[in-house]
Amino acid sequence: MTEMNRRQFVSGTAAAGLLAVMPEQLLAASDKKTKVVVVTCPDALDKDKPVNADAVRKMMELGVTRLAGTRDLTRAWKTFVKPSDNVAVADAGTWLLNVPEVLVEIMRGVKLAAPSAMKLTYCALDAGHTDFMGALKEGLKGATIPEEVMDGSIYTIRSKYHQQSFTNLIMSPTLKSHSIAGVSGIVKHFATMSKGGPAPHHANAMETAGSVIVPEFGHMKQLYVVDALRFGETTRGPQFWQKSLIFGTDPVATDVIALEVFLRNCKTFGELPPDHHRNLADTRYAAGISDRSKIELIELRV
Amino acid sequence: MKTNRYLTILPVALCLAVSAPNARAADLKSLLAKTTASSDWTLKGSVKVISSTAIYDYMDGAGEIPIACSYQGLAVGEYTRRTGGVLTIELYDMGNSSDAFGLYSMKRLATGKPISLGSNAAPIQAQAGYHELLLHKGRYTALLFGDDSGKVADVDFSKLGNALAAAISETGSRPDLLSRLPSEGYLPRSAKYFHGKAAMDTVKFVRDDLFRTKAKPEIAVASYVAPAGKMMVIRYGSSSEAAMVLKTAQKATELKNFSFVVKGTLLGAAWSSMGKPVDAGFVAKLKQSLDKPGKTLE
Repeated sequence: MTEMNRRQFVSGTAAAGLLAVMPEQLLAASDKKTKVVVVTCPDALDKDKPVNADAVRKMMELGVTRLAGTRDLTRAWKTFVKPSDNVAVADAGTWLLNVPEVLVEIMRGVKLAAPSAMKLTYCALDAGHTDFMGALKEGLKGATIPEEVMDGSIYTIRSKYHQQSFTNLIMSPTLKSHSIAGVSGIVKHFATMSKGGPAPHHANAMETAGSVIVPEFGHMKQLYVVDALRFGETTRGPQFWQKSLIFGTDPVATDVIALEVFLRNCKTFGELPPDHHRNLADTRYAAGISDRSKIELIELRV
Repeated sequence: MKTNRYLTILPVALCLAVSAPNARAADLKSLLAKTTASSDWTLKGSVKVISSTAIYDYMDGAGEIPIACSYQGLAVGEYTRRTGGVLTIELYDMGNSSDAFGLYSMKRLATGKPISLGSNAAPIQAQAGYHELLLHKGRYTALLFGDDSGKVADVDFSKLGNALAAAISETGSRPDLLSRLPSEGYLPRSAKYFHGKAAMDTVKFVRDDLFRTKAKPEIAVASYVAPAGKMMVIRYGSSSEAAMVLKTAQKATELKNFSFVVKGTLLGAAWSSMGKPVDAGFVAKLKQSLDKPGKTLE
């Protein structure tokens, strides 16, 4: 796996499932830009307005179908999740907890694809956030997904993903200004979820965060649903209500777009360069595409 | 004879090494207990006491900034009450009042609201907002924050902040290095004080450790409004080290728009927010402050 280069990795994670469904489109896609879809819904939530679960569901459906290139929702999810897959859905952790409805909708979609196994690997520290955990359990119940899919024993610091037999990872990070990385996101989250934990990657604005992506997670198919419904400021919770979800299969490209959306209204922490670790995830660690000219951004509204 | 002496000294040294963290833990727990004693908040479970790199586990992988500010220990208590809400108090023992200010300075926000804690003031600073209260007094820095329910009100933070400030009997002072930065044109509440590179990166990111922060020198940085820029003073262990860093820094392309001044063990640096060379007047102010300390910035 360590011998895998970027082209192999990206086409492996982005397209492993796609080959079976859309061979023509995929073959053509190898020379095309990497697609990232941003879905925004003004009615999804606001500072003083609770989450509109129906709106979040519509956002999820639009994002996944558009990314997969099919209008059929089940077929879209099956593009990313195969019947033989053992799926790990990873949440955002405690610095800025996910909107629970986002995780519920991801799990609903995974269920639709009917993989052999699925787990919602929530951060062990989430357990202290009783409101969040309660809302998550309630949401899963409403989606007729048994509570037993929740597992807080894997996403620990240091994590245990490497000890599991997952074949598919669906990550749903949130973005916040971060006192070490500048702005958190997908690449930084991989360091957090790595077997050595994030601490060895903290130096120099987390420049080595991307080094774990291919060696530790490259064997898994991957889908990213960035929970950009709101953005945070360090651990201070939501500070800006962006009302977007961001979808992609390339970890670096999706993170580059997520950062671009973040910086439209929010700032990095101090003078930290938030693109530093993202760029190096591409140029040094060959984990995806950071060159903006090679990324196709599709922005949609619900 | 020599061996016998070591046999006597060794157990004493070991006892001291073990008892220092224990004493710190007991002290932090006692302060937390005093803070909440006459309130309606009840401790949920037990107080967690954290030291060294265990802070990474507590902070979901982070901890670099407290470490860069030389934190010695952290106690965390979570509290509930009948009327609802969950309150968390993080109480850091920073070892001395300079580093207590340091962590406070790294955590405070330009948009935070400075508040007074009445008779428990001086030298103490506190800021409220974002469902939290941040304060420092003596060698302690504390962060009190509520859960997302919104049931922990400003008045709760104020009461508990006052109780904590009253429980801390020691005073202390802000780092004297802050008096080596000019006060004219200073952007209020922008001063930062720290030791490590992780904190340095947040004020000026340079990939390599050009300022030799591994030896944990004292570093003070402040922002200025007219002209817009930053000034930094670093106190090294010797004047030769300061001179050596100056030589390296002057050659670094990443610092090409920086201006430097050295005075004994102090290295001063000034740079513009616009990425252009700083004007001579800005640098002259810094030189003057290095020669003659002024007001200690807040």
